[in-house]
Amino acid sequence: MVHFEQLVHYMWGKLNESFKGRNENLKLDTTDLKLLEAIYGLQNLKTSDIAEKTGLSEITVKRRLRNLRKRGLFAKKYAVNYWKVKLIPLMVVGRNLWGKVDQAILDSFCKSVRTVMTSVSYHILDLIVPADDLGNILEYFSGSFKDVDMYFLKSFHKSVSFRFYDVVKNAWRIDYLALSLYIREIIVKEGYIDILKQTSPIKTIIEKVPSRPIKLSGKYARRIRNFETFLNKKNSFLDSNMGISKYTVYKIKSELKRANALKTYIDVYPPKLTEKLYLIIEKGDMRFLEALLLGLSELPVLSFYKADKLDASGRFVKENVIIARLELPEGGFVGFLESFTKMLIDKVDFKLCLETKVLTPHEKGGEEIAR
Amino acid sequence: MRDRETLTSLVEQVSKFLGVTYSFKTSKATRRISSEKGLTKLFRTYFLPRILPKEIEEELTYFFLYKFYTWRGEHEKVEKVLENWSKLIKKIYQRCEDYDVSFEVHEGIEKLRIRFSSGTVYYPMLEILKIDSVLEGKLLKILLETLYRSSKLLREKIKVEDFCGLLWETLKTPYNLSENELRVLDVLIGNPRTKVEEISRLTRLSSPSVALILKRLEKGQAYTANSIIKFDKLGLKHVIVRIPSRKEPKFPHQLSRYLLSLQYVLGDREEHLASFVLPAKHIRSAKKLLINSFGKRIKIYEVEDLQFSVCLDYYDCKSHKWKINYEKLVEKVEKQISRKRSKELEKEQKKETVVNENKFTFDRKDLKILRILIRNWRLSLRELSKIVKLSKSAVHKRVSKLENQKVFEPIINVHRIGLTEDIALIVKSGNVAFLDSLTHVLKKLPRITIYKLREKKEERSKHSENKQQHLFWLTLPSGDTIKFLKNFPPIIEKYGDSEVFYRWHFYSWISFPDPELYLEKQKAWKWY
Repeated sequence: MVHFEQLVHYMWGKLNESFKGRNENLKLDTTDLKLLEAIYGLQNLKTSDIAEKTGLSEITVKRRLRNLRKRGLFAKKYAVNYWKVKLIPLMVVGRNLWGKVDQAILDSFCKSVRTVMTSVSYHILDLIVPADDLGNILEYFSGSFKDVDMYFLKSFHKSVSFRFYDVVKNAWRIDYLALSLYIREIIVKEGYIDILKQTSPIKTIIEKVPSRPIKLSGKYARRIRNFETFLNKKNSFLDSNMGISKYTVYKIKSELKRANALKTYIDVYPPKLTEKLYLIIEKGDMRFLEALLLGLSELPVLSFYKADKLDASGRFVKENVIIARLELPEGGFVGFLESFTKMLIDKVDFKLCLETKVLTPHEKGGEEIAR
Repeated sequence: MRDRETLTSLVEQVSKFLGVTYSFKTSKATRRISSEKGLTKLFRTYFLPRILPKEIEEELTYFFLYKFYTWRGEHEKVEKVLENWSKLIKKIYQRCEDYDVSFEVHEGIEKLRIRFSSGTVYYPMLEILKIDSVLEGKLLKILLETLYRSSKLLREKIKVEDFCGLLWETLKTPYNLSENELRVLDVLIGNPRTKVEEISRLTRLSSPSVALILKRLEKGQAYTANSIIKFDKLGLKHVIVRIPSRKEPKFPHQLSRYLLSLQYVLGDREEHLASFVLPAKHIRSAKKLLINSFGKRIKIYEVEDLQFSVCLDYYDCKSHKWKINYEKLVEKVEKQISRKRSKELEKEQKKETVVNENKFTFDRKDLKILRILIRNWRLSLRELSKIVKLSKSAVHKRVSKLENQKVFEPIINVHRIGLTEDIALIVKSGNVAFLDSLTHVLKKLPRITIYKLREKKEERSKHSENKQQHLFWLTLPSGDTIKFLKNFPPIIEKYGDSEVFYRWHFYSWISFPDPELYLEKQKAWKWY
């Protein structure tokens, strides 16, 4: 007898496969690219604004946007400014964390777990920790595991660019070597960084700003790790697994709105990006890091956190750490490796990892999730 | 006569030749210009992106003239261009002081060598012409396309060294195998010694067409006839050293003479993988030297056995892509362990190890022959005898002696057929059955070199468990590294430990040590 949950998972897998297949055959023309770049740049879905920016008629914009939305190329997303409600986003990177970390900690604080490969496999844990529990959590990780890096996230930024999309061949064509030369050019040329900053596609999604935080009540603070995923999830038939009821979502939403901590933004999903890279950069010269990020923002999708590295007692060990995640097309990892490693080795301490799996922590054994 | 032509007609012709649509508007359109000077100016101003350094601009102009005149069938002018080009080449590069310019004599041919401070070596003219023939004469078009794309991003002029990188990028343009080519190559991989007639019988193609296919594949560098040398029989020991350092390691003089390859790999940290063939008698002192120079953090492995395999089963001729089902391969590994496939494999290996154990003597001439055979064993006796300076019959005797003694094993190596990603995988496990089935399954992948390793004795004695180590060098199609990493490490972790390295820089690649290092009288290799 087939168990109902098994059937649901089987269907979910099939759905993902069909989605992937659709994504591979997807074709985009120049107008589509223009529109996607415009809506990301404007962070606005008003047809009149988009028409003005792209020089297209309002009817075309409306029709095209409807199509693009249907094809899942952009969506409205929610982001929570955790710092405003006395919560701290933490990132823990270490070997063999999955399966060894206390299930209670995963249940209460963990948003997602990613398996990444350098030489061996690592796990990256996304945690949302109430400020009062921070000390305990840091002690737990540093005491129980060897060589664990803990990062206090300060802000989240993202950029989307279609510069390397070849409309004729309907594929990505990225010149990694030229891009690395371009970054070198940005560093050398004086004043170039300031000019590029104005036109750069990098958007600050959430940021820690000095304001008096409002404390979220305990029962909601513990549920909030699933809240963002719940809001941003398109398919609702697996919602029962999220461990959060609709009423709780409503309550949290209203509390966050009261604290002015809920932000909506428009996210664009360029197609055919199969390789995800994590780049953790420490000990970098600020000017180099700025130039590097501006250069990397020309790649299809770049999202990065600015963070500080913490030790067991909660002190900052290293400041201005960048945790970047790049989404690249087929062969992107090796292309990036061959062209960028030399430049990075000369200037910074870095770790380059390849993402192999994304897991949701709320189920024992883990369930692989799609975007 | 085409001595003086109008600017418009020349632009039209060049656009047609380069396959570029170029709208040309100028008041000088009807002006008549002399063809060579006019062409040079025209190519530089209208068709060459302005990001190139002067040296490369000049070289590419010569290259363009050479190709353009060949295309128009003006052979006298082609020769003139080649003459001027080779005369000027040294002058072009000696203007700049950023790099060393020197001449190097390699197998009787004088080559201009440019060495950059980073260690990269660039051979300007000869290298460009060689790559062009590999790319079926399309190098200029591919290169210009890359440069146009880069010029959209870059504003300043690049350096010669950067251009060198861009040039090598063009070599990644894959060779698309047709169905017949795949069949021929498949037979050849199965048995590299197969003759044309035999291939034609097996593939049901006519022998002239098989010969034609082989020539085309060889010219396009889709395959090379290399060989594996049993260094043990030559009194040498193959050693692999892992050096955890960011800087290029500088080896002591006696070690650097026996260095085969040095590559920069990235794993958990930056490391260098060096491969040596060291005199077996001096292996201890060599290890001491290595530890003294680089500290105790280095890892030294002795290579016990080396296997090389090429498999084209997953190549799809229609889409010209590799379609490898990694999930099924992983399933196969587990199935084979349960089926006790390993026992059968052991039997096979035992059969293989029974070889002719007669005493083998050799001299420098043998080593010289081996040095050539390792790169191309298909070379004719006439060519071999010319290089080694021996009579044909003497060469034949020596080659057959080497073959009978199994000192070298001919193999077929594939290149440029969409295989771009290199990973090194070190697997450590006490489960022999698992290692055997993993090896068996990994041999289904396009190209793999398997090294059976043995760690230094002192370190091995510390561990109570007797774990075997294998190093797999895999060459995967573009985008497959992630698929491999998603599927294989979890199963390896079940039975042992694994480490993965990604190669991103090659320093040197010499396949055979210098025969002059062998002392014929003492019958030993030079040391100190």
